[in-house]
Amino acid sequence: MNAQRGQRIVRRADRVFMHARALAFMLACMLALEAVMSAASLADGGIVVWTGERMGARAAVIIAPAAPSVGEVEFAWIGAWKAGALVHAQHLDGLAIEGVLAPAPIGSEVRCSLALTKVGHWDITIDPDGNGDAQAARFPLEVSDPPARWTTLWPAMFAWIALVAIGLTAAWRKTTRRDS
Amino acid sequence: MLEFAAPLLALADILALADNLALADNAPWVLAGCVVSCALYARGWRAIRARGRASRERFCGWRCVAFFAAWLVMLVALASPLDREAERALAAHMVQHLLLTMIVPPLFWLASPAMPCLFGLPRALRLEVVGPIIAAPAVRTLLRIATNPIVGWIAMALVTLGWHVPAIYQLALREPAWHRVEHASMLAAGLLFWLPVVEPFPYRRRWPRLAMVPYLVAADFSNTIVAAYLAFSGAIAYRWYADIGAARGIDALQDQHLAAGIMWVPGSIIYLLPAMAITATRFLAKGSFGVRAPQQPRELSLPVLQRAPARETPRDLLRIPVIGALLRQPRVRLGLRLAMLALAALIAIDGIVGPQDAPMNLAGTLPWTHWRGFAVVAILAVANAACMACPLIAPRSVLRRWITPTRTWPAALRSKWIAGALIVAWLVAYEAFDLWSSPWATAFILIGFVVAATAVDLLFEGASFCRFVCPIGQYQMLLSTVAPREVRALDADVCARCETHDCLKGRPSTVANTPTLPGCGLGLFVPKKDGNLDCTFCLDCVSACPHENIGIVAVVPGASLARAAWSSGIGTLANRFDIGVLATIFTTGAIANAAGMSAPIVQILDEIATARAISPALLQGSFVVVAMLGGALLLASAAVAVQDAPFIQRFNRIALASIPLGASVWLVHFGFHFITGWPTGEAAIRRVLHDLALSSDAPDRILSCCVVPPNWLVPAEFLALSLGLAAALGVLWWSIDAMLRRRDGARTSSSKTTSTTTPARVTIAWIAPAIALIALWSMMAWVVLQPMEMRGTSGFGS
Repeated sequence: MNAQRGQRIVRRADRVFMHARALAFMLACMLALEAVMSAASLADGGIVVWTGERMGARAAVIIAPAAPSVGEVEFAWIGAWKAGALVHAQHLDGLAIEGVLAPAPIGSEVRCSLALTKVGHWDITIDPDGNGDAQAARFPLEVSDPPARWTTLWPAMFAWIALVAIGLTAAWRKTTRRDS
Repeated sequence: MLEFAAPLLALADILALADNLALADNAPWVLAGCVVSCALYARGWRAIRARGRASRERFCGWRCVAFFAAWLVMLVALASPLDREAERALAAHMVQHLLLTMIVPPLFWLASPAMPCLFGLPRALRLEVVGPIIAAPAVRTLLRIATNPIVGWIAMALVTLGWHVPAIYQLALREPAWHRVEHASMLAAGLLFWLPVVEPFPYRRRWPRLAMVPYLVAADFSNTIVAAYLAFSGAIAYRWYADIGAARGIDALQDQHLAAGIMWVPGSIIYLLPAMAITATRFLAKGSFGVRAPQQPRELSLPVLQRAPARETPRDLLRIPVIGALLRQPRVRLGLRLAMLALAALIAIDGIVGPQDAPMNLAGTLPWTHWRGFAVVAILAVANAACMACPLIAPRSVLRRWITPTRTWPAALRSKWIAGALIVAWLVAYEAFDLWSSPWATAFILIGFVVAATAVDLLFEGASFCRFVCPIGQYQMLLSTVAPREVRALDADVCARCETHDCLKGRPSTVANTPTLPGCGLGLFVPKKDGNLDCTFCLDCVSACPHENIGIVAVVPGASLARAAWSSGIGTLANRFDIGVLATIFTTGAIANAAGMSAPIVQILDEIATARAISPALLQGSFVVVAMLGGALLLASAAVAVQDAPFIQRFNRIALASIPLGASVWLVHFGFHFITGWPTGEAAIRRVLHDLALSSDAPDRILSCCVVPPNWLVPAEFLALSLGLAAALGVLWWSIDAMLRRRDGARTSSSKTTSTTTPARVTIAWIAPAIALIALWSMMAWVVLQPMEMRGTSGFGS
């Protein structure tokens, strides 16, 4: 009896150990994911809108989204820069917005998001050394009307259509089988 | 108390950090997919291994490791800095594509994921939804075509050649949507391609094993063509990298050559290694010459999809170590309620004597922002935990040791009409008098509820207050009809043999000097109860059952609403007009309540009140009534459109089917307040501690109404609404099916005719009420898209 009980205890301990091991493995995976995720960066896409030479090195500007509309527009500066680098946006009617370029989690890029609130023509100036016009890169930007909000939300908004289609198919099959 | 607030502060910091880091748009969704998928696999893998030695051998440990590794590689490819670097360097992009097409798919198939993932699904979902769909001839044909090696080979060649055409490649770089399509198509093609190579269980082999050698070598040709083009082309293939590479000080042509090398060398190795392994296995294995390959299953067969007998003993929440044992103890449950009562008393005292700025007062924050959000999540995720921990019934539980009520609740009032009227009154008062913004009013409502509950339950037997009066209880019980767990008998045979029915009547305690163990105060006889309606999860029945045969077990959420059948203490649900009206109030009230905080509605009501010199309170209250009546009329008109049963029955069934939609609306509404308003709790707690001279820190976020909603909140809200609507439409379909079959049953038994209830008939009858539910959903969808107005609290717009 005692031997049986001992075996049972060993079996239980084995099971507990197995579960603990599986849990530890899962936790390790999740921690690894967390480490990976925490270094991830901003939304992708965009378009190169300017290239040239500034501060003695090649430079480029990428804006995202590729077709900017009213709302947040991201400006990424790839090239040499100094602390205090600025991005300045001015609308045709005089409205001006400014932002400070901050290091991005990729290479030596700096970036800044500006909320461009008006439709139409904007003049963008990026000053990579923060010392005024000497090194500034200038380019125009056309900003369009914002897209309807549902256009970015449609997958979550209309997920029920797919769910209902699946459910209806299953229900149909199940009742057909039941009746036959 | 500051220690109590510390986790909240930590959570705030984590959320703020996540927001500042601005994770890749798709990262949270990829991570969510990863967690759900890994949990499903692990659950199914464990369950399969428990079935015996053969299963353990087939699903050995390394398969589980392969599944986790596949997801890990996928996350590295899609939600790591590699994803970002891929936009700046072609070589990084090539690594990403290599991972998606050549590493993730074989790892995934090595895990033989079909059986474990299906087994990991809830039983009902597996057997009632996935099973019938996979068994459908059209789906089987589609699967047969898709899993043909030719299809996999062509798909792989198309994505390899197609996505590297400069114009298409640059389109993907420019537009995130196309980039996602690119990655999805690469992953899908990879999965189709590697399926016949890895042959995961229960894949049926189509071609001789040796055919995989030319299959893999030929696939390497398309890979080589692209790699050679990139390697030997003197020009830069993709203009994007030329511009960016120059700015980064990288030679774009060198980057292109490196990418070509990655594609060519590791890519070819990945193709050719399995080809060599297959060849070696075939020709070098002992005695393999002339021996036929082992017999493959003729049909794709997944045993997990076949209906197996239900488990003898369902998995019971009360059997979970520690928590289950604690919940089974009546004293622990009473202690929980008394603790909640103490908290309610603290809130009430602060509401009366504290400052009347809602965001700085416990009464203005904890009940409205935190408790409502927590309760709705807990109920929908587990069961009616809110009623279980209800502080209102704590005094009665204590006082009944000395006072035994002798009266029974009047027969004329044994319905849901009082509770329904109180819910309407509550919603109207909430909107008209901005209850949430008045700590004083909140305190007196709390005290009033406790006094009323105690008075009613000391005068009348059982839990009359919960069953017939409490509007909060009715709301929570309706929510719990779509909860995944229910208080049920574990073994029906034990109940059939039971003659004492202690779960209903109660029994004397076997321990000396302890009070009698009460039975169900709501008159529910557990073996005859169907669903969570009228169940407060007080668990008195669990303690009273001498056979320990009652537990909290998993059920299909909302199934009892579809059946609308007879249940102990309730009668036939489909015939209870009062409950049908209550369900209508629940759903339409949810939408009206949420709409009342949307900026356009607030603005219109303010404009009307100013223009017509009407009292804003009257107008806001009227808005709630009119909105709810409108919703009720919509459901009633849908009931008119359906035939084949008395109107009351049709209306009730549609109203009951709307409950999942209503539950999702409450979740979205209270979840929004919970997520955006959680700092108010911290501010109020700091203020109380400061006032009590327990802390020198004054709250640093005075009148902190809300944090800016995180980006994921609106998509998550729509996802919740989608689930709610889909569940409502599903319940509706099965409810109409049950209604038509019942009518058919009555006809066929009287006239010996055959049943005419076909899926097509059910679907036709389903369309009109489905449109009504979709109309209710569209109203809520409109509300979610509007900026929110938090009247009575500090400024917060959109």
